[in-house]
Amino acid sequence: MDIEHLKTIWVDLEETLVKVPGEENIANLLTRSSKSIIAKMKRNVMTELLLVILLFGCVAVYYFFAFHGWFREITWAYSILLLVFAGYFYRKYALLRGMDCAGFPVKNNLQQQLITLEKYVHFYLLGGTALVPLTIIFLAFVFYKKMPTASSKLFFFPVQGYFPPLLILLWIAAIAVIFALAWRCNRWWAYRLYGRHIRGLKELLSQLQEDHLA
Amino acid sequence: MLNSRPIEMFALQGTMTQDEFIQLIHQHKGLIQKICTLYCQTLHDRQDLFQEIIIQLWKSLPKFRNESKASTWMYRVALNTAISDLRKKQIRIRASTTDYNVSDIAEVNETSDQAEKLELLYSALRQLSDIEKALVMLYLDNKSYEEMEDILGINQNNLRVKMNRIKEKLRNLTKAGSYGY
Repeated sequence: MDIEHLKTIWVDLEETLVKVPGEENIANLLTRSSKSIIAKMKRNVMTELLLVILLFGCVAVYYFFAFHGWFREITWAYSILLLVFAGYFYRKYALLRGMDCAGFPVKNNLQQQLITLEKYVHFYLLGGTALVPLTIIFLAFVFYKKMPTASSKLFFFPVQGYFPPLLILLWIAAIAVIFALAWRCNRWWAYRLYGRHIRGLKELLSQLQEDHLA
Repeated sequence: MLNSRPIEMFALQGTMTQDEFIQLIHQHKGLIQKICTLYCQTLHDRQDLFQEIIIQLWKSLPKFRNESKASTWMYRVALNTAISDLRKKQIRIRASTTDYNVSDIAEVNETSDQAEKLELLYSALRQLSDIEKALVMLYLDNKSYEEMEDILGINQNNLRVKMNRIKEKLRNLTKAGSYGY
């Protein structure tokens, strides 16, 4: 049997394959959310953003009013962090929107998805990792400024504004270690989340690659 | 009665009512049905994919331009949805290793002759890779190489080479024992 025979079977079997929903059901479908991976990722990013806004917002508001306003700097610190995180999530969302290209030819769609997903993972890694030491430095600075007595008892804070070279080295080493740990954790997590998808896209693209004429 | 403006007109005017879209789906339901049957092996997965394709078509409609034919655009969206949803597909593959039968493909009340033909057809096609399936489907739907290029984004020479290899593969599968059963 060859493909021409399959063609005759194919033509005969048009109407029996899948139940087509009625008009009302199709109309209902149009109001539903997509279950595609990209749609789910977009929803996740929005949920994360909402959580960060809620969490950071609550902390900022709390320190604005608590302790007679003594720790208002923490409010501003958290507001700035909130803006940084919002920018981070916005960039992630924009990248995901770039993957909505179902109307492209199949090969172009897969290429676009692969390129964008790799950019996304790269940004996720860099942005997500950089935010960890930045947040720690930021909070340490606030702690140092607002609680000088308590911080002076800890050896990794400068005393009376003097930063000895050894302490600078210690901070650099600590930040490097934190960055490396955050990088490893993020990389493991990112590839656990997206690695299989990236491999799948590469595999599909390899099937589409030009065949050399034998 | 719904009017029958071609989709190109919708694109030019930039609007399409929900009723007109539903009419479009019904006009081209065969295309979507075949893709669902080709890429999924359980009835539940096929219904799921059918719904997802409709949602994606509706979402992609505002981006449709007159650069290609309406059917070309529908093939692209449907194939992209079926092929690139990898996580779901892996679940489908796991499910497919345990059961696969003709009554699950077609309506249960199909004649045995038709069921046998279906089994024959899908036994052959399920042994192909995702991209090969797409190519064969377009071929079986009598699409020209030019249209295939437009849908898949592969140049025509390469398509011909791939098609010849697939024909050979199908022939060998037949020889090897009636598509594996």
